[in-house]
Amino acid sequence: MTKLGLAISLDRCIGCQTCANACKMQNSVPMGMQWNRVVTEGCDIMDGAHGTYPDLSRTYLPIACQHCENPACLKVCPTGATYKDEMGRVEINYDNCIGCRMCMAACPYNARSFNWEDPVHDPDFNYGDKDVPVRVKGVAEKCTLCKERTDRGDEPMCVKCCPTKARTFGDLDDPKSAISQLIREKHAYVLLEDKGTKPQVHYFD
Amino acid sequence: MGETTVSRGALSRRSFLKGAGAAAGALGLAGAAGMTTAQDWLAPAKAHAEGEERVAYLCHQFHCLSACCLKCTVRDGRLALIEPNDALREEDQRICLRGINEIQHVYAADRIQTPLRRVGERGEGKFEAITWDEAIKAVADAIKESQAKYGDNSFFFRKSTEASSAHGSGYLAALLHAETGGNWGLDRGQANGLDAGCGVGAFRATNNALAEWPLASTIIFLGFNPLESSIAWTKAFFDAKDAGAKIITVDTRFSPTASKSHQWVSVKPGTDAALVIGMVRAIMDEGWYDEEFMKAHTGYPFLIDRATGEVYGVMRDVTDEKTGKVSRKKAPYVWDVATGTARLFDEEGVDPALEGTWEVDGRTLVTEFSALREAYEPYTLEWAGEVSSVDPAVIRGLADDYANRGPAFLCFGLGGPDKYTNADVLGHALVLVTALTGNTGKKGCGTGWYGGGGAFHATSALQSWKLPEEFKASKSQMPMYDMPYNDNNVHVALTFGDAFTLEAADANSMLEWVKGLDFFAICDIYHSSAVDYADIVLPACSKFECDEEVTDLRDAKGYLSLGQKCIDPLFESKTDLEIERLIAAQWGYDQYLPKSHEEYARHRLSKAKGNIEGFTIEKFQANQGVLRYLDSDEPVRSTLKFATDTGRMEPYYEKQIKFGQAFPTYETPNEAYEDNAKRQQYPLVFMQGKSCFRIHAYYSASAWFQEYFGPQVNISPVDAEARGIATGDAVRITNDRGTFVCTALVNNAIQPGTLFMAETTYNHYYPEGFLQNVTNSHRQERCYEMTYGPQIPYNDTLVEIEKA
Repeated sequence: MTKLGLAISLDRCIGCQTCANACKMQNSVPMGMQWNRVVTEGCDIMDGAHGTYPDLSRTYLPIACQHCENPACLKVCPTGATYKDEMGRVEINYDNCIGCRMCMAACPYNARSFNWEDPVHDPDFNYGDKDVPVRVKGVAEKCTLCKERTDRGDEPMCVKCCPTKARTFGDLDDPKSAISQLIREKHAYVLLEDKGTKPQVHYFD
Repeated sequence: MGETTVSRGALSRRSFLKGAGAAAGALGLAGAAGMTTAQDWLAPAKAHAEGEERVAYLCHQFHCLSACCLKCTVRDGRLALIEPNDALREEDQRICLRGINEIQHVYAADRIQTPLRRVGERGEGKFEAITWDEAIKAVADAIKESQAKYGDNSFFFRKSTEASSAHGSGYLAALLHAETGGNWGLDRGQANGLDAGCGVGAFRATNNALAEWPLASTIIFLGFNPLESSIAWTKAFFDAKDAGAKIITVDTRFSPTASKSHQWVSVKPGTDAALVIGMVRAIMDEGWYDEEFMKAHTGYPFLIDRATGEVYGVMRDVTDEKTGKVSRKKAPYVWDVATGTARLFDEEGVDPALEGTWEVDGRTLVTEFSALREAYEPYTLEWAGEVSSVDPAVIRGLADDYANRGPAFLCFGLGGPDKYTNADVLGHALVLVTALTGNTGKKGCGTGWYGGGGAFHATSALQSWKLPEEFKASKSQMPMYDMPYNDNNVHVALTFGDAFTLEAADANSMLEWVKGLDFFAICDIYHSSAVDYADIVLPACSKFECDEEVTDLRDAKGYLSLGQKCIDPLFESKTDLEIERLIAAQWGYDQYLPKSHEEYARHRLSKAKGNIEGFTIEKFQANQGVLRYLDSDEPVRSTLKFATDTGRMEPYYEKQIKFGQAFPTYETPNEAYEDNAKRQQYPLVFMQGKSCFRIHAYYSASAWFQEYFGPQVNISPVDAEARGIATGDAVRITNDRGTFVCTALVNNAIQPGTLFMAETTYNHYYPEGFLQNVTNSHRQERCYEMTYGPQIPYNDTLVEIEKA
């Protein structure tokens, strides 16, 4: 089997938002939405810090769909629009999405966005990968692990563009893959492990 | 709902560029009724299922100094995807959010769409659309009239950082004998102090440090934040970290670079020189200096006359090995230990004493090193700690790491400690520590700014475009930043990009001066801060647009890049080259300019030799627009031959005896110092620096970036609480130079007593004013005698902040 995932080095993440903008471009993510965002952990502003000056620390945390092995969103989807595909990715069949937003309530990672109105693109045309499907008002959307790129054998756009090479993409089922080795060597962990969602996005310091 | 899953290449169900109305609004067009909207300018996408795609390649911005080579996918005539150019070696492929956001930024509402003529008051921003013919004639008539009446140098011309090195030839100033505004006043604060001891140009990096960083044991960043300012350089940062280098960042703010370093040293604003002087003192006191290096490669053993402070030596003719030019230079004496006599420093067999005092011919002579020990008697570690607010033990630790761990770098950036009036003292102090430890001219060490100079020499092998002899820019009357304060002959100005508010502080004084000019025209892509003050506005296109297949030939750090056209110029915009030709044609001078980018590129490559031998346009086109010229990964390293009178690194500046700066003497910044009485009214230091969402003001217009970022000031929780300020509040920042309003962010990373704001955002995005209204334009008098002149001390600024 193939189980695609990501491993992200938090030491190398500099909070530059390149992955977030690469995702927006590739997937034609509309204005006001982000499939992939980089937060400064525990801060209400970007580039904030923990502690009292000058005893400070800072961790940038990139968050998107965790492509869980046991996805909370999938379980609550009443139409089967959310599904786990043969490559281990969590995907959405937009045609089957009825806009109930049960998935959004269920996702502990707040990874999904919803098209409350007709999506606004600026510039107002379908930039991005030509194979990425158009979404309309009333459907949920999120990181697809760049399905269109990874189907072609390419790595996701966030991985390709990351200036510090903080992101590694690959098959978690292959113990020899670079990602599997990294996860072992760096003692990588997942977010909100206690939720039992078994994320396929791993982080290490 | 089958329609929702049609492919991305298909026609959108909605009309293109709904936001066009906003563009007209931003421009405040008086004649908006007649203004064509962006929707009319762009042809609609074709209504077929699969969009037509092609790719084009170019080199992106130069002024973040990253020179990313990009692969741009164009679908139905529009930019659709921007990725790294994969014709480069994998390790050289790079991009950051700034390159990616061009997908939107190129089409931003702030684009200048047509030539404009002012119809309101200067500064009011009311314009009417006119034709290119009308605009060019108005510009040329104003220049001609002024030059006939007041002389050639009454016409000021400048391409600002936002505009230069893209799409143009840059010869308009020479063709029209323009005043170009002399010394730039930017980025060369430390360089004024550094170059005097190492040779002019040394600050640009004594070697190719980006590739060298992994070879270092210690890297100290002084007020340098490359992880945000030059994101594409972060690879070298992490390579160095992986290789085991200890990285220390000295910064007032807990910057992204500070948070990724092994150690962050918090320093009071404008006191970095005291910290480095403290390091000098520690290295001397602990004996951590390299005596052999000092004797062989520095001026430390040179003798000086205690009575006059002058270097004891003889004047003699020296022939330059390369040029054969003979010049008269002073050859200093040293005290020869073997013979017990004063002998010339470069005599065969001399064994110089490093320390001591001797009587010769009624003179008391002392070595520079001994004189430094005496001069630095008051500069104890405790003193340095008190001035900089850094624990003396930490300063001693910095000196230890720098002197004793192995090869070490001292790196500064362009936008930190250089923007205080005492930056030359800091630069000079850097010479002292470098000359003490020998951290230069060998693997894995160096001192200076590491913009990736050194190995990257391809452009020097390119042919320059020759103008006939008579075409030369006027001899400059004074730097541009001096013009609001001193009488000058400038009556008419033309700038490509915003020079007046980006390359000067104290905008109220500068713009008052601009308003007093007979005529001002600006050529710009976007509605930048200076546009509202112009009489005529010329719409330039971005580097993604061109009217021919090839665009600029550019150096891209180890590669040459020949840009390709991605899309046609939007609206009525034109390339810089075409605009330059149109203006020159008004004098019949267009005949002296390249007719096209292709002709210009062919000429520049016409005698390609050295590491670019055989490079042709056809070869570029066959290789995705890039050709690599570096044939080795081995960095070009500086030698131990310095471009000074003695060829050595010279810590003692005889020419600065009159300023009390023969050795660097600490002085406070002009305004941002502790005991300044002004603090009672304006207690906070206002600093600016880089953000990942800007290169200077560029990308202000990006709708994508506006979702994250705008005119925001960061304030410490202590200062915010004292003033009742919370994140998101509108705040007013004021001093006696001016005022502006922006949004507050309460941020733990900010040193109490300081404010931090990323430079900068076009003025019309602020509720009122903009940040340059408060910045300090003081000119440091002694710097007029230095290589780069006074530098603009943007950060040497005191303000008060309150809820607006």
